[in-house]
Amino acid sequence: MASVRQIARRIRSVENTAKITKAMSMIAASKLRRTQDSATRGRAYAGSMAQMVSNVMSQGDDENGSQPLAEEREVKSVGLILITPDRGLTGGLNSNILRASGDFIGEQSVPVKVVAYGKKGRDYSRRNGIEIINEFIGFGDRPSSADTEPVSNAMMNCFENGDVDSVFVSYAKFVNTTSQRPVVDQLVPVIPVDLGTSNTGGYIFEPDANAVLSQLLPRYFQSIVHQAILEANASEQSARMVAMNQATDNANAMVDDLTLVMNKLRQESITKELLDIVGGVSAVES
Amino acid sequence: MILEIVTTEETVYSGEVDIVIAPGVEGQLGILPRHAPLLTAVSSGEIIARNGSSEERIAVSGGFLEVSNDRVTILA
Repeated sequence: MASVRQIARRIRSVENTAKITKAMSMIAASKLRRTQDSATRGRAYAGSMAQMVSNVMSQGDDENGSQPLAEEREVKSVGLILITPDRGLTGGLNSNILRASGDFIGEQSVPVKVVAYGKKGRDYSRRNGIEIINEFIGFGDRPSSADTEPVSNAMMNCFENGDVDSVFVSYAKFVNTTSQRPVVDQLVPVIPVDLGTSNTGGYIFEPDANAVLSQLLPRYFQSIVHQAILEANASEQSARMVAMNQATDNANAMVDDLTLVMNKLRQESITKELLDIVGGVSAVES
Repeated sequence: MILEIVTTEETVYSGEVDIVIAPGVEGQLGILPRHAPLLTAVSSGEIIARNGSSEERIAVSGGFLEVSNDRVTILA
């Protein structure tokens, strides 16, 4: 049985843990506000971009075929941009992303090559012997588009060289503070999705389709990757905030339990001492 | 005709307009309602959006302009 002093020490240590997790949760909360802001604001741009590209691609123009980023060929190798946090203490977020990505990689019948954004994804790829094309680590929670462009460019180069024949991006989509959904989306070759707009077709291109598309498609690639990174950052902060709140609550509950045990023990030992004294006195008197 | 100007950070402009004048790569571009679908790159310059007597001027540093379904989207 632990002594009162041992329990007191234990309580102090748990209290300190609670202080740390509380601070971490508060930091995550303030970062969350900023990252959530940029993620939701970025959606308008990425959404319009996706719509624009999809409108153009659904035209089924022969000229699209000459675009390096729209080229469809036999898939001999798949590229995956794996976007993960650099750090842990995010509850189940990291393992959820990595499980979803792992499932995706497992489903592929051809080798998968990874561009890792974030330490967790890089470490995961290394552990599982997945080829890493390039890694990007330590961009903080608010990367600019200049920071994320090299990520896109690394993968785009591979696609254009024929090192990979299709590119996917895997990240945690920010749904709300308590929910982040791991998703794996196809980036290229661009799939024309029907977004429900009655497309009149027959675009006029200025100066011509090739010139516009060769600018638009790389920009599309970059903006989707940038948006994915913003979403992933918001997810990371919200997951960490919730996880650390939980940890603080757990620590406080533990302190309460331990305090109860300590007080019982203290009372017991006082009672024992009193009994000893009373016993001693009565022994002397008799 | 609806004009929407969207940047990576935010939606700068969104509303009804009568005419949009944008700096296309091939020169100034005036777009009136019911324009045919069009996609072009935009060079740096000034976008002028007129609605009735009011006029708004917005500077852009390049991007893309799309016209479809009586809707002008500029990604700057």
